[in-house]
Amino acid sequence: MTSTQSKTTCILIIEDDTDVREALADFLQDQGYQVAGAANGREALAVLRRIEPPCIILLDLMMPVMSGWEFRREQQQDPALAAIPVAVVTGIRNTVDRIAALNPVGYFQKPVDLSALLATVATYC
Amino acid sequence: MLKEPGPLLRYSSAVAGIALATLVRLCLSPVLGADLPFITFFLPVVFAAFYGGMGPALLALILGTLSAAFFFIHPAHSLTIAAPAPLLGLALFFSVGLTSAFLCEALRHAQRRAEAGAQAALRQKGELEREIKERRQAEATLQFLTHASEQLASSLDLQTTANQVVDLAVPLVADACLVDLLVEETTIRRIAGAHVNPEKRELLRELQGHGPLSVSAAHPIARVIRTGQFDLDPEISAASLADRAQDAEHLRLLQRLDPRSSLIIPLVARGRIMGALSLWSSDSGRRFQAADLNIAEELARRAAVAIENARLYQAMQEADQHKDDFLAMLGHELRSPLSAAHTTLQLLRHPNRDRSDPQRLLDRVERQVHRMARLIDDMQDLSRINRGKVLLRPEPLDLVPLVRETAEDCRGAAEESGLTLAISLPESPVPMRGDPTRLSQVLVNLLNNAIKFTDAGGQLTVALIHDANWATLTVKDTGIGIEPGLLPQLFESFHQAERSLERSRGGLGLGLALVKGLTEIHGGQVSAHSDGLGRGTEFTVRLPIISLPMP
Repeated sequence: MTSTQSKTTCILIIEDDTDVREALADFLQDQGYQVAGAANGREALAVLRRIEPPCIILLDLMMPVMSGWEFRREQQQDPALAAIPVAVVTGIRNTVDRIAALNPVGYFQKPVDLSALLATVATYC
Repeated sequence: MLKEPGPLLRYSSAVAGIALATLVRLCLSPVLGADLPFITFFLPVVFAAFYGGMGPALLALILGTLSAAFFFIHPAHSLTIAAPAPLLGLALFFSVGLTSAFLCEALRHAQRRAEAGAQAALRQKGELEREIKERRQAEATLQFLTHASEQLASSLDLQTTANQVVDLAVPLVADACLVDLLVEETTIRRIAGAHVNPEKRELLRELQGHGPLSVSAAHPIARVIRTGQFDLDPEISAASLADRAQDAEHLRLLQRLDPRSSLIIPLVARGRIMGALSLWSSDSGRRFQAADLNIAEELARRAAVAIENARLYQAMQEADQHKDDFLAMLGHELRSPLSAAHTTLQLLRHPNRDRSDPQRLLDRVERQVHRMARLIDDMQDLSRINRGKVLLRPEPLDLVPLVRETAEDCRGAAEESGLTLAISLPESPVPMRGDPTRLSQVLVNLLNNAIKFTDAGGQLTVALIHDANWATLTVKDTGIGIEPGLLPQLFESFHQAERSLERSRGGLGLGLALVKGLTEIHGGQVSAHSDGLGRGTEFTVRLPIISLPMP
């Protein structure tokens, strides 16, 4: 599952904890992916207006300013963004229905199972 | 029981009897001559003995003898007695008379004894009946209170319990019953009410909606709660009713409810006055009096215990929820550094490309270790503070260099977040006695908090001033501010200023709880002020600089 080719589209990591975000970015970049980051939902929306739609979004849920839930709502209402697959990466245990309501393509509890993450990313990127 | 005739009557009837006997004997004189001079006098003497007693009998005897001697014994019209024959009659007369007198006296004596005995028996019966009535009442009261205890023990829900209290009191003890509780030391809130008259129940509900009462109001309920003394108003006057009204509308409601008599008992549990139980009487015509106090106080005692239990249970549930929320957040807080460390370690172990930056990656791992260690230290510190077990190492110190160095240590983190840090210190030293590590911890926590909640471009200010007795340290930021309603809970652990759990900056809110705990064990106080959301926050720490005994 490793790749030495660079992809043209990138992975967007939306995560407020800088160390978590940068660690994931380093890891995914090492795997050959392009990575963009945002510290909360609002920042992410701004980033998405500037770049090509990412192949997948890795979304944290508990964030200041705009949470993962709020971001997902906004994303689903925007036709330009609605189709981008979203995988949830979270530290809080959530109920099954709350997660299902987000309709994600993957659900990862921290600390992230990296091989599973790579498998999911490879499907869309 | 015949009423004993008075002495006048007794003696005059004796005299009258003799007079009559004399007359009759006079009438019989033509037939009898001088024979049987005493014959008619026997009857009046016996009668006098029976009706009048010893005294009148003796009087009748003497008068009879005199009369007979004067009128009928030879020589007539004189008191001398010549012939021997009348002496027999006289002797007979006297013996009959005296015998009658003594017998009748004995009879009267026995009668009096019997009457006294009867009266005593009657009294005893009356006392017994009273005692039985009292015992029955006491039994009924006990039964009522036992039933009340059972009912009140059946639920730990506050509203249910309060409703049970009022339903128990009405209609057995009162026509209407109200339960008011003291909330947050200053406000009195009505939480339950009942009325025997279904039409008035709606009015009671309206009364309840009339808003809380201040504990310093002139209302008798407020007075009862302030003083812990009961208030008994056997006949509520118009003026007294007006005292209970907060406004004209309220007064009209009260007038329609028409309470005529009231008894208000404080609800006391664990030595604390927590509210009041009001008993009203209106339609039934019953008026409260001191005798009703006993059962009212007993009911109030049980009600207070039950309500306090419900409150404690509620507090316990809230604490439980708080703990659950805390633990959930704790999980989140630990998982982030774990995740960052794990991801970075995986990269270090199986890199796909050559890394030119192992140091950066190792630094990140180390940083996560420190984060987790810090979290655990904070939690343990807070736990120790809460249990009163923090070990202080007090020594004489100067706050000026302590504040300067600590603030400077945080400058890096501030600048990394795009913030400026200004430090304002006095020229001369500010000596005090304290634990420098802990005081430093207070400032670090306040600064970290300010950094966390202030967006890039903002400004932080640390200032220290003092007077003769107090040093005042302020940490001000231009950050997101705090909603005024959340200020009271700010220093409790895990009460994020932003309520919504979704949108949060994470963190367990331990920092401020630690700040408060550590400040207070130095004998100081901490407070927070914010003009509102988006308007920044200022924390003020006051520390005593005269030497106070350290725990």
